[in-house]
Amino acid sequence: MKTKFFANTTAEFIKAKRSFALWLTILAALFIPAINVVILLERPDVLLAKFEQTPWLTFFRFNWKNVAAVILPMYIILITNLIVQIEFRNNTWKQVYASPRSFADIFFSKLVVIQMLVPVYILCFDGFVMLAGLLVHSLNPSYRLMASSIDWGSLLLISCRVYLGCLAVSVIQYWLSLRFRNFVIPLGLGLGLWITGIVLMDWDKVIYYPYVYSAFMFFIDFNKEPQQLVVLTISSVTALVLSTGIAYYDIKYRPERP
Amino acid sequence: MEMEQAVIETDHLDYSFQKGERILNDVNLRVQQGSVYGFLGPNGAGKTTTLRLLLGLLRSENPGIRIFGKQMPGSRIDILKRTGSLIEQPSLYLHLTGRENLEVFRRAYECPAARVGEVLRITGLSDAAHKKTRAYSLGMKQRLAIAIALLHDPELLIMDEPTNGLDPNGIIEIRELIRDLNRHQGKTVLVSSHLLTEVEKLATHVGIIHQGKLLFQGTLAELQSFQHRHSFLEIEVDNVVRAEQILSGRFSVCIRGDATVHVGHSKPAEAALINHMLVGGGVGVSRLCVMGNDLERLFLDIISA
Repeated sequence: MKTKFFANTTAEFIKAKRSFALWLTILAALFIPAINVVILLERPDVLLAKFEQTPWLTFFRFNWKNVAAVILPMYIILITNLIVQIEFRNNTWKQVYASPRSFADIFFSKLVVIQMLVPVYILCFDGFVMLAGLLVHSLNPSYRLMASSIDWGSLLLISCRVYLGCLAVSVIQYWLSLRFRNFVIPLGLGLGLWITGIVLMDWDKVIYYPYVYSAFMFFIDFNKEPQQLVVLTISSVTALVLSTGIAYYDIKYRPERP
Repeated sequence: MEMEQAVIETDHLDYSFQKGERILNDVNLRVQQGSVYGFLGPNGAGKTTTLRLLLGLLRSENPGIRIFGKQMPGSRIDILKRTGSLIEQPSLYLHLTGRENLEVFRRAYECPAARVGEVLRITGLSDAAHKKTRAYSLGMKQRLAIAIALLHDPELLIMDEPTNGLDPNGIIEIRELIRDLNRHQGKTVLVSSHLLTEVEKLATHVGIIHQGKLLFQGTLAELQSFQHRHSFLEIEVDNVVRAEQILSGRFSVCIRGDATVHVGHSKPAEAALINHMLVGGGVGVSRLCVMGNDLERLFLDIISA
């Protein structure tokens, strides 16, 4: 059973071959570091002072703030849609469901691909951030990035926390992408749900809304509010488990296979 | 004669997408082992819905479907391990090559890597295996879809309109392939079509479905005998009243105009007898023609009855 699931997951990776998925991952990861290199080099008068104390941590946060709030949710909405649309566009769902695979195998093997691509995106992004830091320093040594050691621990912590925060959204978006043949619907719903999250940021019940978790994981200062980290971690895991359970149940018991 | 074992059996199969709208109504399908079953019906008759139910693509709690003696959907995976399918247009990943498409499904069917080369050879696609399927002609795509269906060497093939959209050459190729798979590899084939001529050339058994009801089911020979029972002679005579008097004792006669009568008959040999009786009775016969003797017309008669 495990071997079969592994074989079918590799088949899902073959399907993603030559699709836009890999390019989207690289381009989305490159986008913010590339822009920030330009900003740092253009405005040292404003930014140099901010980088004096902890240059690498400041540089990581400078990049991650846009990713945690905007780029990562956007990437998840696009990548889940893209991976699922491979089946819809090629009219292959019926062949997939007519093969001797359990519904769990079909559902989770594709979800694994998405769950592999998101960390790959984060790794690429972190890699590009490092390269951007080195480039900035080589072009303007006043930023003193090379003068201090790289703060790997902070980078790993930010990456893991934000990834945990976005897990439920990736499952919800996967479910929406499976539910609707027309790619505009999950895309529009995803954008709508994300924008709603931004609007609801100050609402006292916003902790029940998974689309804000990745942003909160980055923006909340857990040194000042350590209990918030516990609440957010529990909320993220609960939302992940619930959304996976509901999505799987709904897809398994749909009256018609697409 | 001993009854052949049925590979597919449906027991009073009903299905509706919405309440009050019956797509399938009491369909009792019986596909015998080793047969090529032509599932015939006009567009929208319920063919695809039936095939989707057989493959478990439509959810129904207790549809009364038995394939290889096992219940669908209860034994879905066991059944699908022994069944190859092609539903509607080919299901292919157009950004992948022919070989990569087969690799994707080979993993699902758990068959050895060598099988990919074998099915490419069977379907005549070995030379095009490294081309992206986007560049394939419709006929090649259809053949690759059949190659996918054959990957796990299934005992049963379910194909929905496999010749749809193909040019005459492509139609002949697919027909030959299906015939070969049935005769030389012993596969049972259920193939749907809306074209009677197609089914006639390929099938050993025929099921005719219309508006969700199975109107006829039997061998091709039984269909042809059914056809004779439904044909009649159109005869032009010089005296329709006298012709009716002579024939009405043995045949059903209907006067159609001043010089034409329609006479029901059950076998071709009776045409000579009818002519002999008329001439012997002093009626001049100027034309005698068998009507309703083509399957196409019979098909239309069956579905419009």
